[in-house]
Amino acid sequence: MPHPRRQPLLFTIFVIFFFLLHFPLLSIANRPFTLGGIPGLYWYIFGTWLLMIGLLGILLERKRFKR
Amino acid sequence: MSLRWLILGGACLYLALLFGIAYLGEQRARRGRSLVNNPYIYSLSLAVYCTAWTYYGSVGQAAQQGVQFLTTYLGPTLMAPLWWVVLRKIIRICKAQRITTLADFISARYGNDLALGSIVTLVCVFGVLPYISIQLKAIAASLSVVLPPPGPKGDLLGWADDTALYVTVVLAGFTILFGTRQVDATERHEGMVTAIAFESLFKLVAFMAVGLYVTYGVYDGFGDIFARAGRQPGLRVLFVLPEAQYADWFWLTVVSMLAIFLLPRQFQVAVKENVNEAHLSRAIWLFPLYLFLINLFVLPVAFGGRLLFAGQSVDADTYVLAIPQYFGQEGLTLMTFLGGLSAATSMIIVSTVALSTMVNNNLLVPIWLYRSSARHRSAAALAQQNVGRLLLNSRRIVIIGILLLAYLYYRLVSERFSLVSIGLISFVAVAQLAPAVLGGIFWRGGTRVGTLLGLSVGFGIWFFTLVVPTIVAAGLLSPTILAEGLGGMRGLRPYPFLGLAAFSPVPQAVFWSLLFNSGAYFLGSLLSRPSVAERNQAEVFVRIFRRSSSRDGGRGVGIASLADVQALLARFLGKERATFALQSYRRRHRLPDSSEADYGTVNHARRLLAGVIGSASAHVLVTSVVREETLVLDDLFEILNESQQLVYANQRLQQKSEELEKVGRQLRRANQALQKVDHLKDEFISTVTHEMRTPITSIRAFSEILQDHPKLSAQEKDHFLSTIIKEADRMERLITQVLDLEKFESGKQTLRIEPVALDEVIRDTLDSVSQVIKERNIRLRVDISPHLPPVAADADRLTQVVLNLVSNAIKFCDARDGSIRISSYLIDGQVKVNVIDNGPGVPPESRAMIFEGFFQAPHQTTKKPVGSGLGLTISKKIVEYHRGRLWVESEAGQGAKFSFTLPSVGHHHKLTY
Repeated sequence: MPHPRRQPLLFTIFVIFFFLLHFPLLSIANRPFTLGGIPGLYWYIFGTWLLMIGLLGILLERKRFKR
Repeated sequence: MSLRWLILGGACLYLALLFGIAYLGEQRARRGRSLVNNPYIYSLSLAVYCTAWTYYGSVGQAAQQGVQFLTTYLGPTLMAPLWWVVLRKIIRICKAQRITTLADFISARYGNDLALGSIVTLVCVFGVLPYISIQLKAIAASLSVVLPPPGPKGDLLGWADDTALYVTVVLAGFTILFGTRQVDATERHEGMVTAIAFESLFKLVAFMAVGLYVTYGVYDGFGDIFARAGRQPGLRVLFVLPEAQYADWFWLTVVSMLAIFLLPRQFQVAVKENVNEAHLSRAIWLFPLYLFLINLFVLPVAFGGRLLFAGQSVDADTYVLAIPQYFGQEGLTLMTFLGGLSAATSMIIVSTVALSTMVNNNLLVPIWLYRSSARHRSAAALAQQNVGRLLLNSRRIVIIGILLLAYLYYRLVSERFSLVSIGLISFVAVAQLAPAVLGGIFWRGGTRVGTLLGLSVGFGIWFFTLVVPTIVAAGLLSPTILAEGLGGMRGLRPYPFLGLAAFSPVPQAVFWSLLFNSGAYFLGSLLSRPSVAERNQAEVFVRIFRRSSSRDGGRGVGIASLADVQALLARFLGKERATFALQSYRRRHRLPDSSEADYGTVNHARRLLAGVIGSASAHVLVTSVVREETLVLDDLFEILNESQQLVYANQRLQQKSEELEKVGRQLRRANQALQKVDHLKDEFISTVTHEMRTPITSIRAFSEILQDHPKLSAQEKDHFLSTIIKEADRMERLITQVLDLEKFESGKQTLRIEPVALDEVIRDTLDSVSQVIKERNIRLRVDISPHLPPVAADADRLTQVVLNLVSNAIKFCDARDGSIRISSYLIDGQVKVNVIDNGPGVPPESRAMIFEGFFQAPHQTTKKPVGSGLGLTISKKIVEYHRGRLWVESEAGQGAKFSFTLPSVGHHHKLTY
């Protein structure tokens, strides 16, 4: 295993975002409000989604193991 | 008219392009400059997950339900971080065991079970056929959208259907061409993967293009679309998720998380076609990024379509095509259409390849093996035929068969349903494999029985809750089952199943099927015992990361002749490749040349074969070639070895315990002897003290008399005094003897050893007692052999012995007519001396006891015993000290013969003292 903490970190990301993208946490954003015309729920889901991708990218690219 | 030809021409060009790319990919691979060995290509190939369902169906679903469609994509995104463990493990296992399909994986894990492989294959085929059919439906539907109606609508639909058939045929050709080149299925289909990656890119670009157009071309950006939608209550309600759908959100995400690696096509591209595990780390974030991008414009397009086509009966599934077409954007429409085509074709190609391999390896080959063996032909003899070509052709036939079946399904069933609903049914079907797969790689306790139970239960529930309603809707089954339930039981209705109405139909099917599946899997595994093969495989699978890469993944099957193994391989792989494979293996492991293939080689051959016909069938074939029939010979050896060691250990233990027992016995005996000696000592002490009392009593008595009667006569005084003196002497003698005896007992006796002439000793002794002999008128006869050799002895002690014997003889010989005879001669190298008297003799019971201490003959007439009773004891001790023997031969009333022997000097006996 190149990066000893990679596995637990990945798992943590999974757990955190699983909770963020499901109810009950999701219900926080599940309200009829809009930001710039775009519904808040949409902002929340896509924003969280993008954040997760970003975190994964950082974790996996910065700690790339040497061949 | 021109548009029709434009579309058709475009489609043909596109497919030609696909062929070209696939060909290019293959050529590059052959020349060693693989295009596929690239994390971006790998990530893009994973995007085969996005099919016409994504392209068309998402928009349709979003237009009806809002964000619910995102669960299909959030699931894989959430699963991605776990890939590092789950998927990597699966990839590692498959590489080690040359597993090529999901059915192979499960069958291999649970003991290379053919039956299990067949069942999983059937689950996958039944589960995925609908999925393929909706791709065909999407193609037909998209065609009917873009093409202007030439005549009555029915005409177009029929034409579109025919086109779908043509597309099916073309795709069959593509799949056969690029999916079945080689016999060894572990060889990657580089051409196919390259084509798929291209298609993924193309469909993404096409979709984003149309999305951008709708958002910024037709409307003024995201804000504009949603603001407008917000003004329509029918649309505004879609801005949030209704509470009733909270649970659906969860279960749909779960089933998508499972589908991302359990769908046959996903397994194919993610596991089997994986070139390098390292690519996985790039894919973990690239693939979710792809999903994000392709879904970015779904909602705008959906709402845009709703706004645009409000009041018209435009199928929401086709908005993505209908909008650019509506605005006369021909180029964009064409590109969008081709994007949808690429989404559909990529799914069809990969799924069909995966399914056909599964069907071939897990259904056809076993049937062929079974039928052949049923005809009493050995499997090895079978392998003599050239089956390589046979396998390839059978796989091609299966491909055609699957595609035709999918087309049929489309015509019969799929037309009635939305893309998404059918797609989700497939998701739930493959999700039934989750307990078996996840349990298989993380839990060594998972067994075949558990898997069979779980799969049966899960599949059954899936079929009942999801497929039966579609059959009813197709008019093939009476609708009473929907209303009344199975056998009239309302709890057994497809929906709500078991009365659970909190979820929608699909999520509740997910819940029930997974619940019962997992439950049956766990219970079945816990309650059943895995076979040896299962346990081995479980060990390999669960511990794959801890095994070194060079060691064999599987257990040995036995030893076979190298020629046999090679011949078997050659039938399937071709002679050259078989030889090369075996040679390189033996070279790599530095095996000596021999005519025998060892366990490792046989295993390697089995794995190579597994790549072609699946591991279960390979197992059967290889074991038939192996000399010993048993599949578990290696295990038998190990068991034998273990039991041998146990036997040795047991023997050693037994020896030890025997020794311990012996020691115990010795200890007991010694203890007993000690106790006896102790007892004897006590007796001795008591006897000695008793013996000493007697003379002391006499002395005291007489002394008192003398004291009390001073007027005794001188004669009387003299008599008493002499008695006192005599008793005192007696005591002294006794004490001396006891001390003497003690010295003998304790080994502290010192003897002066010198050569002694026994005849002299006897004569001297007789002289000393001659007086008594004369007084008692005892006849004495002396027979001493002349030339008696001397004995090594202590002269005084020897005298003591002879004196003791003679004194006894005098004491006990007949009172009136006493006769004593003494003889001495050499016999057997020993000097023997006999003292014979004609006294009352020694009865048998006393013969031993007279040598014990203080024994007094019972017939003595004198009140005061002569002698102390220790004489014979000491004599015996003395004689024994001189390495001799002293004993008596006598019968009651017939005199006694006392004899002793001593070794003569000539025999060089050493005295130890």
